[in-house]
Formats: sequence, structure tokens, C-alpha cells
Amino acid sequence: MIVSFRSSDGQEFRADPENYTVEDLGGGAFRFSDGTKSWRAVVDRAGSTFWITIEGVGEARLTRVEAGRRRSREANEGSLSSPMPGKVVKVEVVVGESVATGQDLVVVEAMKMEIKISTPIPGTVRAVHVREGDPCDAGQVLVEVAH
Amino acid sequence: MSAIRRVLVANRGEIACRVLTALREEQIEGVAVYSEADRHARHVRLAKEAVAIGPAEAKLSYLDIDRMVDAARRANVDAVHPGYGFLSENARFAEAVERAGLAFLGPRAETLALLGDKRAARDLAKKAGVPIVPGWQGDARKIEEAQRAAGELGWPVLVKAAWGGGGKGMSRAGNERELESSLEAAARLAAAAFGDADVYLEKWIQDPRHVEVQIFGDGNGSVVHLFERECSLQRRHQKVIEETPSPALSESTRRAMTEAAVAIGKSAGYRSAGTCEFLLAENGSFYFLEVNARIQVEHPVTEMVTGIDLVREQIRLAKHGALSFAQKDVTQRGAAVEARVYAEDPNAGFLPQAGLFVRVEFPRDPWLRVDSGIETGDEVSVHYDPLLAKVIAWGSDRAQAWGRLARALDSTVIHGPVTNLQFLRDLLRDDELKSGRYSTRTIEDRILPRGKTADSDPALFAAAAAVAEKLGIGKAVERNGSGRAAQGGAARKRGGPFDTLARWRHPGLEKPRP
Repeated sequence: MIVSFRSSDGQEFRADPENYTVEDLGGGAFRFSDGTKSWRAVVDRAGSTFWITIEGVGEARLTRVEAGRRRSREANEGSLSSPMPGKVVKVEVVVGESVATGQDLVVVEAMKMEIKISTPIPGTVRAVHVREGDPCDAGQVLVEVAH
Repeated sequence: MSAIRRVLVANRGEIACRVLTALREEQIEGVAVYSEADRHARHVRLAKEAVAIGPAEAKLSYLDIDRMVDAARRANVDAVHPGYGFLSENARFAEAVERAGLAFLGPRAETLALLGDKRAARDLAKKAGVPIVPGWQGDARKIEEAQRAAGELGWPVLVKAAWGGGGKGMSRAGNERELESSLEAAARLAAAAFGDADVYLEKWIQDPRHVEVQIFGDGNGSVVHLFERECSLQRRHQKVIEETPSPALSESTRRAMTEAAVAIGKSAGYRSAGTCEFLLAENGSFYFLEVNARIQVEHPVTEMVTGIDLVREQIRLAKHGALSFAQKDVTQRGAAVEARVYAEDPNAGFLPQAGLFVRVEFPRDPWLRVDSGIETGDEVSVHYDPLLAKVIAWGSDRAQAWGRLARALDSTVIHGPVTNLQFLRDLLRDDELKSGRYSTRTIEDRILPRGKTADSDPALFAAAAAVAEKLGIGKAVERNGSGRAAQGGAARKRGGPFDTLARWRHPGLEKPRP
């Protein structure tokens, strides 16, 4: 069965595990081969997140994309949250405002840096959950955007 | 000289682990300290005892002199090892430790005060007959005076705040206008933070190398050197790869530089381990920069080639009042190279990352040393420096050491928050770097503009993930009550559907809040 994964930059990759022979080495490590080349890999997963290290190739973090709900909903709406605990120093949008891809919505100050939080999709601001000067936690939702 | 039975390690992360290991070897009880964010950290698990010192914020814990000295008193220790960073070069801390009747395993308080003032350190070097970069020192608010001085030195100049260090408070000025804005910024920052508006201007040296010399003094006038470390591979003044011997030093320059370092150490009456930093110009002339009056992050490469345990010597010096080795005992055998593993995303401007490591695996190859502050199940928080671990390889020559380190990084597995591992692997395989041709400008001028680190073959990663899923390899990871990771069960995942879309978003797993 062909399965799909998405990389952190939003690209999607499909793979058919039937095309490979596998040898489980235990503890998350395994060898796999496509018949001509073989690799040694170590994989961990948490929910739909996969961390993969392939020796001599590098590492990646991929998200499993379930059949049927591929990106459609996910790419059309979402919440932007703070990557770290810090302080909201700027809120640049209001509810109802339309925003373009890449537009900065909120600026969070953390670790003596200003982190601009921008929207990866165009759309309309549905909710703004913080005000300038508010402290924020890592993962706290700041703004919601929808098409 | 004093009996030392218990030592407080006033630090965290990999260096706290490193010091605790040395203490164990000396059969001395090591007491760790921890902030609320570090309750379950590796250095706390490693120590026989651990003392809480306050909240996560460093200012209120690892940087708080009163709390640290109080912790030492409560723990009933004989000595304090400061590690690097935090309070390690703070003269008031060293003084407070010694006033409490404890040994400070580092330089004397007055030495820290002297060397902490960069102008005083330059004067010291000058008196010791060591060349310094031609420069001018004065008040940042006297702009015209500074502009005239810069003109005499020749443009461009480097502007350094007297209170700066580690790349902070430094900027380049190519003309009078740029100098004016640099001076204004320096004065502003100084007023906000330290109240000292002094700056100095230095002649700009094109594509210099950063070479430093390890020294060790007994505090009674005897100072030895343990050769150099080449630390030119830096990104924004943060060292990434260090090695020894330096591929750029001729035998005569090496002799001159190590002699200069010893002269500086002697005129400071230096005690314990320290490092004299030099700029090495392309023509082989070198200039004194500053003394780092502490054990350095990159000290392991020196230990690998000299066979001398610097941290253990710091402890032994306090115990016996004398060094256990003489200059004639110090030789450079082979070569060693170190890579610093940071929780930083090279593809997102090296933004520090936070989260839980679901897997941390370093190889256990021969000729390899790993100084790590993390293990599987540990967390990296946003509160402190993102340095996770150092991987160091030894070889009978430089090429062998670099090859061993490259292979070691290949078989290192760190799953969780994004790290600079792939960036390091790319550096270790770069032909120019492998041949030793690089300067402090190389990473920023040549490596970083290449853009994203080699994203080898995304389809291959998808194939590996698909295969793993089908076979049920790589079970989900979850935290258990003690704060350590356990296998099995669904992981707690936070964040919204934008997780994989936003460029800064690398959530990993979050520790349940207490």
C-alpha cells in the first residue's frame, strides 16, 4: 500500500514499502534495500510524526498524511502558536483582516530575539487571542486564520 | 592547599557532567545544582547529590551569586567548580566563594577582575611584550576623536565595547558614518546594561584565523602551556568546529605564540586553567585578543593530544597547591577535532529549538569522546545555551581525526528538536576545510550562502518511514511520571495543523506541566 508523508517545508512524498526488503535490527533500527542499494536506518515516531536517520544520508522529520484528508483541511485553516515562551511585543492584525501568505501577524520576543510569526496561507483572521505585552507560553495559540 | 572532599558544580549541561566525571575519578563527592527547568537533567542524575537553586530563568538561578553561595553552604562543600559561562568569570562570585571559606576551582578573584576588563588585559599583554592589534581606546561618546583615531588606524575598523565578549558588543565600521552609528549603539547598550561607555577600535584584519593557547598556572608564578587550539570555524562568533594542532601554525609561530601566552599568564600570576586568544593574520603575524579565565568548551581536543585532564588538574591544584606536570611533560601527540552539537535549526537562521529528545545515540567507536548533557528522554529548554553535546575524535594525524569525526557524526542519531548535526556532517566533508584552508570568515562567507543543508533524498526518507510503519518499527514515545521517556503508547502532541507548515515550528513533544 502506498503511503504519503509530508516534509517540514510542506512537500509530499509517497512510498510503497512493498518495494523494499527489510531486516529489523531491533530498537528502532533496520536495514532496507531496493534490490540494488541498501541502507541502515533508525526510526522513531510520535503520533503521525516520524524521525528518520539514514546512516551516511542524513536525517529528516516527516508527518504521515492519512489517505482522504490529505492537506485539504489542514492547508485551509489553522492556528499560529508561539514557538517559545516569551512576550507578545506586537500584534499586527485584527479579526476580519485578510492576510497574504508570509505576512507577519504577531511578533514574540523570546531569548532576546524577536520572532516574527507569519501565516503560511492566505486568508482571513478569525481570532486574535493575545494583546501586546501579554506573556505567552510555548504552543499557546496566538492567532487563527482561515480561507 | 586544602582538603577537598565535596565540590559544588555551579553549572549545568555537558560541562557540569564533565566536571562531575572528573570529581568521581578523584573520589570526590560532586554536588550538582539545578533550576526548576533542570530538575530531571542529566547532570542532576549523574551527581550524588543535587541542590535546587531557583527558577528556570538563569538570572534567578545559575547567575545568582547569593543563591549559588548559599547552595554551596547548604551542601557543605569544600570547593566550587564554576564550569564555563554563567558565573565562571565573575570576580564577585569567586570572591564570595572564597569569603565563605571555600576553594574556587579557577583563577583568583582579582585575576578575573583584571582580565574581565579588556583594556586592562591588553595593557597586561603589552607589558609582557606580546603584540596586540593596533587600536585606540576611549569614550564612545567622543565621536570625532574616535573618527580621527580610526582614520589613523586605517579603515575598516572593528568596534568593541569594553564590556563585550563572545561576539557581543562588536561591529565593523567601514567609514566615519558607520563608525558614528556603531559608537552610538555601543554607548546606548553600555548605558542600559553596564553604565560603562568605553569602547576600543581595532584595525580590521582581513580573513584572520582564531588560534588560542591553553595555559595552566599554579598561582605562584609558574605557568605552562598546553599548545594551541584552532577555533576559526565560527558562525556569528560562535565556535562550531575546533581542532588541534592548528593546520595554519608554523613551528616558529607556534613557539612564539605559546611563549607569548605563558608570558601573559605569568604577568597575571595566573592560577588554574585559562586560554589566551589570538588573531592570526594570513602573513603569520599574530595579535593577542583576550584571556578566557575559565575552562573552555573546546578543552577536550587539548586533553586528547596532550593526555592531560585539565578539569582534574584544576581540582588537584586546589588540593595540592602545585601542578602535577611540568612544561617538558606536555607534548602534542596526533590530532584531535571537536564538533559542537547545538539544538539549532540551520535551515531557519539557526533558531534555537526546544523540546523532548525521543532518541539520543552517539557511537562508541574507538578514538572517540562524547561530552553530552543529554540522553534519550531529556529535554532542551529555551532558557539556556542550546549546546547539547560535543563529539571529539582523535587521530594519529589530522586527516584521520577528521575522518573519524565525520563517520561518528554519520552514526549519531538525535531525534526530537532539530539540531545542527547535518550542518556539522557537511562541514566535516568539505574539501577546503578538510585540507585546513579556512578562516573565521569561511562559514559565513562561503558555507552559509550555499543555503539549505544537503537535503539528500526526501523520497528515501519517506521509503524508510513507510517501511518502519508497516513493520511497526519505532514505537511511539511518551514521558512517564519521573520525567524520563518510556516506550509505548501514544505521544502527547501539541500545536495546531500548521505544525509542519510554519518555518519556525519544530515542536517535538512537550513535557506535561506540573
